[in-house]
Amino acid sequence: MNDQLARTLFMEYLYDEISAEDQAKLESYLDKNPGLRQELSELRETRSLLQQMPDPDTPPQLLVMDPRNRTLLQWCREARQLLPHSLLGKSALAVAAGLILLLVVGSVAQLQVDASGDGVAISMGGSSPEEGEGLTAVEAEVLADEIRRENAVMMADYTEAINRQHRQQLQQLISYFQQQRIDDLQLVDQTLDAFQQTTHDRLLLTNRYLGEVLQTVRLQDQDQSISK
Amino acid sequence: MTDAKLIENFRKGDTAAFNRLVERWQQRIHRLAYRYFASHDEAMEITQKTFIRVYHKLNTLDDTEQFNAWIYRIANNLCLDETKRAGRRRSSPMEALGKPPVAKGLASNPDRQVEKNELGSILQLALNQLPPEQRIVVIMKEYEGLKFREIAEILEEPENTVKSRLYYGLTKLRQLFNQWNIESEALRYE
Repeated sequence: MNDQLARTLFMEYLYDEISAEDQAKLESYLDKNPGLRQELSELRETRSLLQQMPDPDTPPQLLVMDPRNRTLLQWCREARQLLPHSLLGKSALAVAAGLILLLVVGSVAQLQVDASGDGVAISMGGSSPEEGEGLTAVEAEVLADEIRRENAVMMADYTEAINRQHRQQLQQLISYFQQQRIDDLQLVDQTLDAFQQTTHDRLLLTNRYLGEVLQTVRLQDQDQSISK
Repeated sequence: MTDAKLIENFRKGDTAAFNRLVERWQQRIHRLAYRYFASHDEAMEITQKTFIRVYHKLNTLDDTEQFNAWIYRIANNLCLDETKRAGRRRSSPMEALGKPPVAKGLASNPDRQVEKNELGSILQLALNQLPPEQRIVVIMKEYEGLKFREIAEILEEPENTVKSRLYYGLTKLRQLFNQWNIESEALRYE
């Protein structure tokens, strides 16, 4: 073996792919050539350093979809992915869907709208609104007056009901405060009575104690005079 | 289920089988491309292109047992094409290199995660100094753990050529690490 041949075996040796026979030959040769052993050691250290490299982040999962073989369920899943997720997007989609629905229904029902003349006329079923089928100006005026009157009556009823409700609430409030006041006065009266009674009892007690003291003093004076 | 069986199912029209294949191989191909370019975007692009090509060409693969070598070959060719197309110069003379971002300071950094990331960046930088033919062999051997025989099959080169490229690649990396003072200090934090 020579240096060149030994180097050719380095890689197999480093990665454990060397045969036992070649390994024995190489190790024997390295024992006699410390320079080559040092070189091998440095290559091993280089490997160790390379192993320190962290793995890259996991990539997002790729997915292959064949459009020809797509099932209904897959279609639904994909369609759901396409729908907007924000509130604004959903609202816009709902409005758009509503308009489309209206157009479709209008088309099927042959909806016709006529804004000319005295007002707006809407009809369904294909025949256009005929002249004179609507209300005349006088009839419309009468109808409007009637609606206004009904509105006025309804507003008056409503106002009356509100006022009645307010009055009832106010009455209940007044009654509550009156009752509260009576209760408070009764409480004060009871407290004053109790206080007077207590004061009277204490006066009687005090007088009794004073009487006893006076009597004791008087008896002591008598005892002293007798002893003299 | 083996790759060969999944390929067989895919050839019968089972798209889910192909997705299983993608699921099984995506990370390996992405890691290979990432080591090659040191860029997530380019790695993703190469990964996608690889599977698109596999999807279109899988019917032409004669021996399904050779799928490993075949898909790695596609990825490697795409990496080489991309390098040529973009006119990249991934390899530059060592003399032209300035100081690396971090050298001996690695061991004194208190944050080990940061240390590891820094070391990873330096190692990636060193790897990118190798010529493409050496770099791909180092990646396949060191990070993909392929046998010399398998690498030779993928690259369609003799085994001795593969070993020789790996030897020169590692030697060059050793020189770079010495130049950047990266050796036992970097390993000591472990």
